[in-house]
Amino acid sequence: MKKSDFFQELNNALMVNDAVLNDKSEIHLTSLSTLSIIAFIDEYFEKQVKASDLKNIQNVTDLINLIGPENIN
Amino acid sequence: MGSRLGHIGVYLPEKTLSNLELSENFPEWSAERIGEKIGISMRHLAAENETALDLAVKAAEAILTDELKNRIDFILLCTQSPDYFLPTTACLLQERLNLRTNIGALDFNLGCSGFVYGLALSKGLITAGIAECILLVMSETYSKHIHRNDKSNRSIFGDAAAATIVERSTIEKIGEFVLGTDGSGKDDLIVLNGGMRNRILESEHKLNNPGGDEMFPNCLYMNGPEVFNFTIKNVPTLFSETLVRNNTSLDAIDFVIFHQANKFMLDYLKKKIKIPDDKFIIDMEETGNTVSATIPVALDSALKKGVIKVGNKVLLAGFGVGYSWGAVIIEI
Repeated sequence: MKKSDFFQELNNALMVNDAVLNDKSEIHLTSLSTLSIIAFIDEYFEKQVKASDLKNIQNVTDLINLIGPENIN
Repeated sequence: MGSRLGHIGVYLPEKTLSNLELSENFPEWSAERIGEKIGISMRHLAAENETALDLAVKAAEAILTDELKNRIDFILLCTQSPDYFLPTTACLLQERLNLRTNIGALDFNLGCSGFVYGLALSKGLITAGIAECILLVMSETYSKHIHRNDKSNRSIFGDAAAATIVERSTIEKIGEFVLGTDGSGKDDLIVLNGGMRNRILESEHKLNNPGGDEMFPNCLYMNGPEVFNFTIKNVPTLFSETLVRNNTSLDAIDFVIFHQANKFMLDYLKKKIKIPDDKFIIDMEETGNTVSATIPVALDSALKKGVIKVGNKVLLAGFGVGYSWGAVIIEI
């Protein structure tokens, strides 16, 4: 997935449409945005992540590492 | 010989809880956002002295005539909030409805898959010649399991009962079933205390579960993200297997009713499975997630609105606590 598309879809999943995200942007997941992120990763990367893995996510780089950096360019 | 589904009676308790009331209790919880994301604006809640049996009686009375009462020869009642550990709620329902005593009655303990399992059990009893006219009831008061400070579950779940008749017919109207079970999901949707493994503790202190969420051990706990993972992993397969088992295709199905868990989950499943919007029923805005009752409640609503009509083929799929899942295709 192109990184620009990744940021656009991540914006939608996190419901922060006005924000400009970058690798260092902090992520604060609520119960609803956790579901959105799981759906986002399932839809675009065909990968299932556990809720406990998402608990450790603090910023966009952590999320990219969870997805696999090789999947985003 | 076959079996068919009859009328559906629904009872929703009088007391309601709106998103606005919820957001007053939890100021950080936006009423608008709750409604938009989970597709629920209101839920009905059983009164303090109103139980699953009371709800079941009212749902059943909505469809029972004297003639029908005399024909019922089995009661199947699904609940996870029974009036008592024992006796069986279905036995109490027999007495409250003044049904014959020479009939069978049993409870089964399932959640969101309950209606599909109830249809499977009913079809089995009819096919085996054990019963001909079954009163199938889903009745839940999950609100009584939920801690007052648990905003997530209080926003999702509502109480309801739905009753229907499954009876012998000349043509088979209930198709082939696909059922599934995976007990490894037990920790993701559970009331931890109160059974014999963990008897009720005197103090109701919080625990931290391994995932880090707050957990009220005497009350309902749901690991929403993991339950969501379970559904997106299993429901697409359940759906395709059900079509194969019934030797049919999505084109030949008129409507699909999934367990009405929350709108976000339903929208995602619809997209993932590629179900057309006009075949996919979402109807939970004024009821919330009523556990085993969601499918018959949504089916009843679609029938009353004239959306689903006699002769339509409807794929029903329930999935949730257990984990447990099941699906079937019925003809209305």
